[in-house]
Amino acid sequence: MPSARSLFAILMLAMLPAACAPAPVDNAPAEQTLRYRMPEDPPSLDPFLTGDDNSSVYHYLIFDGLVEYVPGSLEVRPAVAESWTVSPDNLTYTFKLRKGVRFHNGREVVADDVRYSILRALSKKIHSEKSYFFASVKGADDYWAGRTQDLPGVVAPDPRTVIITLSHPYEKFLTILAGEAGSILPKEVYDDPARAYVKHPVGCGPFRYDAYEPTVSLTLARFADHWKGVAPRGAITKIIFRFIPDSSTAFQEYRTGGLDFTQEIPPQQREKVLKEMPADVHNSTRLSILFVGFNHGAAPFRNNRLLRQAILHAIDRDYIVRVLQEGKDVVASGIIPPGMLGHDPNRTAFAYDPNLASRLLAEAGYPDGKGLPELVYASNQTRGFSLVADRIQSDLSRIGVKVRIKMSDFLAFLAAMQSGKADAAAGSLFRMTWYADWPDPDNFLATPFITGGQGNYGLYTNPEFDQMMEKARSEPDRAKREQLYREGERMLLEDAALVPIYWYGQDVLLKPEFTGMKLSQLGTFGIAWEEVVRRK
Amino acid sequence: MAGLLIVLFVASLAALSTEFGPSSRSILTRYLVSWGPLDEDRTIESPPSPPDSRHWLGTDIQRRDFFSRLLHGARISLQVGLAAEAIAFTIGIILGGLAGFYGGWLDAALMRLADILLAFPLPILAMAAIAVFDTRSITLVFVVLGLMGWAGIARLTRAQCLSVKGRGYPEAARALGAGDLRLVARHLLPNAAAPAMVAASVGVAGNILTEAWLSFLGLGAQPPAISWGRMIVDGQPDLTVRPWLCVFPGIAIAITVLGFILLGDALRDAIDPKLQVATHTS
Repeated sequence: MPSARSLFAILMLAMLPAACAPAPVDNAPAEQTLRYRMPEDPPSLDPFLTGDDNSSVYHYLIFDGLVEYVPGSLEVRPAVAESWTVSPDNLTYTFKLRKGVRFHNGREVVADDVRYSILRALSKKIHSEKSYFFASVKGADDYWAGRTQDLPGVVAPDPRTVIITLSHPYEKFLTILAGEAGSILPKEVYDDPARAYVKHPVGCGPFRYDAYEPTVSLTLARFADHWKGVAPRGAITKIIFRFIPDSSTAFQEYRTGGLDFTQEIPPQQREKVLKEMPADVHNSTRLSILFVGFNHGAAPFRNNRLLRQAILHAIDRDYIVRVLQEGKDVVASGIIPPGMLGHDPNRTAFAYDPNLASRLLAEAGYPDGKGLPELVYASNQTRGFSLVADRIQSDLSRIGVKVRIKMSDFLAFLAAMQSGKADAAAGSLFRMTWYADWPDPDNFLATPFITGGQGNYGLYTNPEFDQMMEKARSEPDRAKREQLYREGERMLLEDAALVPIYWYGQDVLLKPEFTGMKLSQLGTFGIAWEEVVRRK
Repeated sequence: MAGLLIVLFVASLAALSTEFGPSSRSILTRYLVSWGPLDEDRTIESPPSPPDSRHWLGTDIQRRDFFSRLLHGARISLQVGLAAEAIAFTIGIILGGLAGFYGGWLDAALMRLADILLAFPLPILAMAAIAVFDTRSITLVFVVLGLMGWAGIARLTRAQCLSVKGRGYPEAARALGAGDLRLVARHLLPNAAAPAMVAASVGVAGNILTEAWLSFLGLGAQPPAISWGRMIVDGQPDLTVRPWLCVFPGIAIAITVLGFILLGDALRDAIDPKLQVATHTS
């Protein structure tokens, strides 16, 4: 006769298959892996030392900040901070931290970690690339320049309170904290002189570092103690980033089932893929622009608006978007992209008009291009950029402007431009992509065009525009602010400070069994994979 | 003979297409093909368009006639192939002749130098030169290929010189009072040059391939110049959808290279049917 204990065991054994069997509604297995294509190994896993799109994907998953973006949106919601208040003068933000938020090493996140992280983002010693994100924080300039050892703008009066004070009101400050610059790092890990964190990052985000095999893959695993709680059934528990440089190879791998996600459709296949795999393709616009910049610091474009306007009207941007980019992107009618404050949906794109361009060229003193030296167009060499370069060369030759394409050493060229040492021979025209670091025209319109701006590679200078941007930055009223940016954009376009080509679109492929993926206008790094569920 | 015909054919296409630019039209485009290599057919809605009666080989993604571009591509291939080989041949003959004639330390020094050059893969050297000079021009490509490609010819010439030197007639000439220069120029080199010429013909084919390879990597001819290698790389992403963009320039390279190799074979047969020297050095 079996004892009560063995009866219990038999009963439990009998129930085991039932426990393991799929739930009637949700039949997803517990372990869910997402295989994600990455073109290459990450340069570093330190969120303050890199700024490229691909590295950001890891940072958004490994690190959390005080606030975060609502998936698929540019709005901000609470994250590590459960609430906050803003002072009436819009200068002081007081954050209350959530209880029980833990780093991947098990330690609880406290207010001092937030302060430490912002100080680190402003550290010249570690060569932080995120310093300019916090330029509006009180005392940030002095701290960055090494004039003070303290940052009065960030204080942590108790373990659950952080107070950030700005030097001027900045409406979009919270979006800066929602990005990777706002990552909260544990001091004891990131002060380690052996710098183990470069390879083994520790944050408090929904995924933790698991494994890395150089040139093959990097694996992140779900962080069980994440503050958002236990992962729902079917949620992704592991992300394997596979390094596959070539987009065609990645696409083949996706088709044959070796990948679940890839952020690129190979060139010249978009139409076919959209038709054949409509359930896999997701797309949206991005807050980024491709433009042709002028070297405003040297002849022939310096102080020569007519010549710049001639170039502006000579480039067939519609052809670039429709044929060369296969309709993925949108012809830019202005600079500020759709979805960002200041975007003007009623602005009509300036016309592609070779005859007008020829007239303007003649007015500028170069009838049919006579007397104009050969222009140099600097770009880096990818297939897409080469096609655009060919197009521009061909379009400009139509009005008699000779262009030589210089594809080598683009980074060196940009450095030379910024130092003011680049002459017309190094590049009088150049390709530039500008991504929004955070969704605000202060970063998108001002930074690349104000005098001395960090991204002002073309050395554009216009005191009236500078003043307007200065005023717009600290304007607390959203409508007035928007008006100022629209005005600023109009000023740049009328002055032909640049040739806007297109606003980027993004295509991603995700296997249809995954649901809940919301593409962010910021880029693929904005996808909250912790909220994506696999149905099969 | 077939080799000579192919080479002459390609050369004539290249020669006929020498005028260049969107408005200037070469003899070729004026009479044979209705499109210039940079002319755009603005009536085309969705380029690249497939071959049809209007564009025999279709158009590229920028709406330019592919046939016309292919013909113009012959120029760069031949230019690089011939110019580089001319440089290599001249240097190779002179240094090989000197080494073979004088022997001794000069021979040893020159041949070690040749060994060093032969140890380096030529395309890698070309890439290094492009990086050092920070320029991507076709002139640089053929100068580098020429300056680095003489070692094979020099060795061949030296071997021939040694063998000719051992025969009676140079000695007889010397006995009649001929100086070094006369001996080398009138007796040694004319007899030693034949296999070198055969090697040079094959070398031209090698140079054409190297140029295509460099252009494929984006290091050779830069637009608006047209090169077959560049055409292949431009068409590569379309390979599964529009194969003609890759296939035609590929065929053009293959035919031209074949032409030079056949020419080399024919030259060997013509010069000395009994010649047993391994001419197919690369």
